[in-house]
Amino acid sequence: MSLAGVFDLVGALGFIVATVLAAISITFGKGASRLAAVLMTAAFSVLTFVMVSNTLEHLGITAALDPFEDFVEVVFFPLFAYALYVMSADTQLKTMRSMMHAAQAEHDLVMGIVDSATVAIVMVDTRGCAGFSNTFAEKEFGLYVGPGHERVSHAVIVPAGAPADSIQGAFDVRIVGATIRDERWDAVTETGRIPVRLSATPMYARSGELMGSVVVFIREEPGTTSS
Amino acid sequence: MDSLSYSEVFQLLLAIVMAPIILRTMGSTKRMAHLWMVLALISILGSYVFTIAEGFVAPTLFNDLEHACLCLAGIFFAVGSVSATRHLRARLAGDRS
Repeated sequence: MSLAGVFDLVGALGFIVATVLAAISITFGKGASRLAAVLMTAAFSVLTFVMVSNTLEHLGITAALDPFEDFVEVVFFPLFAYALYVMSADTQLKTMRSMMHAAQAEHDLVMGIVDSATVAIVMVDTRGCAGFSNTFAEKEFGLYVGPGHERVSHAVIVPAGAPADSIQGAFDVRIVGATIRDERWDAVTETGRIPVRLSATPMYARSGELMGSVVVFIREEPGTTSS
Repeated sequence: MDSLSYSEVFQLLLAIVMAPIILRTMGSTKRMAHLWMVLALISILGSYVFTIAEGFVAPTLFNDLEHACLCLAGIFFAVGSVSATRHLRARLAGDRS
């Protein structure tokens, strides 16, 4: 046997091993993994065919498969690329799902803490409207956020003693973008003016644009004063 | 140009066009199996180049090199497949536990 014949024989054995292992992995996989294994098996089968054809030719058994080699071999790279693409897409999809589950778990934890807190926590947009309010803010101060995030608040939060008539949103816009630490403000509700201790922190988008503020406040004293 | 097979040139061009896509897709993961696969693909590309070259110069040498490259590709794919199968089985075992 010629040197090329020996190379073909060894190469054919290698491709047969690769094809068999890829075929076995079809049984392990599910969904996209299985499709990738099928494509990989097909890709390896193509080169196995070529190498077996070469070996048979060099052994002097038959050259009948030789005319088909080029036609078959040309599909190897597309099949291999497609298999890799499917594997890569499947891996990315799994990573994304895992990240979504982690983010959802974190969101649930934060929402649990925020909703069980005995302070009012409100996210205020740049117009002074409440975009989110926790259960305490809704029950104690009537700060509601509608299903479409429209304001249905029954309260207005203003600096201590300031008039509440001209306020368009739920909050005096002076709160937007300001850093406030434990200041005395008023919650003007349907039942009257409630003095509150209020803190606020501005919220920025990744681009640096001001998105609004996170406002936290609590009733200063149990009694209310008439507005 | 009698010695030039257009199907072989087409194969080489297709491989050259698809190689960056394949390598980029493989580069997103750092698995050992992928290193063997990359080596196998380089070997196949080499065999395509040598099979065209043998039509012009040193036919015996380039023919042997072509078959040697395909032989190496077979070995690399076999080793890569063993590595990939081990990784897959380990991952499945991890998923079950």
